[in-house]
Amino acid sequence: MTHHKIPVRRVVIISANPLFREGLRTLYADRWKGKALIVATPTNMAEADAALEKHQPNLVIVDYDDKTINRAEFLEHFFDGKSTMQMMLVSLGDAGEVVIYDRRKLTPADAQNWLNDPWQEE
Amino acid sequence: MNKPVRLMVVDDHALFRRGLISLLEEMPNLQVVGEATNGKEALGVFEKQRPDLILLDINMPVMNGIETLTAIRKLNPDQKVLMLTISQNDEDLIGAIVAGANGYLLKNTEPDVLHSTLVQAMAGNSVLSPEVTSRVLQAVRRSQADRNRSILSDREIDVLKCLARGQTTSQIAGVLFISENTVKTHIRHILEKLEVNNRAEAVARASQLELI
Repeated sequence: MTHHKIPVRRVVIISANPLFREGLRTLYADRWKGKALIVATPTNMAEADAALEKHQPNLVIVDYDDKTINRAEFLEHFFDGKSTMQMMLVSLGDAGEVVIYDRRKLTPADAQNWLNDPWQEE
Repeated sequence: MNKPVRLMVVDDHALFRRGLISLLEEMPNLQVVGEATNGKEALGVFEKQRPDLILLDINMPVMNGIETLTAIRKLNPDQKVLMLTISQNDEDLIGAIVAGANGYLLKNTEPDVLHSTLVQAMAGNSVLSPEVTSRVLQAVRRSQADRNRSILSDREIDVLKCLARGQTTSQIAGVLFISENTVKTHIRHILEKLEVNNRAEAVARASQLELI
């Protein structure tokens, strides 16, 4: 029997709100143990850019309420990038909706397989 | 060891609320005994749990934080309630204070500051985020100025403005189209109401009270 070692995913939480940032870290650090690691918690755009460049995260959680964090700039990052990445856009001022973007890079063959059942659970 | 402070968290933002609860549970001597996603739900949890302290968001569906605070005050006038919100809106801030909030904290507060604030609130102190303190002071000043302004009639304020420009009784009478006797009567009333002895003192006092 072969054991596939699942790589530890990297998570970046971007928020100018310490209670939100640290709250999520406390909530998920244990829950994700062995599966994912919160590698950075930037509080502004410059730190966020550096963290995205350095860690190439699998998941980015962005609280875009603060004026120091620009939602449009993040979306540009997301659309420009190529690697697999999920991004969650959260607004503390709007409890009604969280938007999740899922970016994947596939070979044409993989894409064909994917199209057979685009809605399968991961 | 002290008995832990029993907390309730009311916030409609699930991610924020769950994270906050998780953070609070890591802090010493605190225990989260209830949570709710809006004011109506909060009243039910409050009746059941009777927490020591409530952390209450303002902008929520069904029943907002200020309505909830008012309802809680009726159930228990001594209940400790801290508003925890992103709103820096004057209406929310003053509304919460008037409704009896023990404090007003912004969600951009650092966790250690939140902890010390909770301790202070439990000790009976009122607490405000530094960002909103100046707004409260401004509002108090504005309301004091409005009260002061209501001491004098509009006509008396007009006369005071003329006095501040250094105009004589006859000049004031000419500007305001009234008799000199009427001007003198207004001035006598102004001196009485402002509790001063002469025109110069009246102008100084009026300026101090932001009447002119």
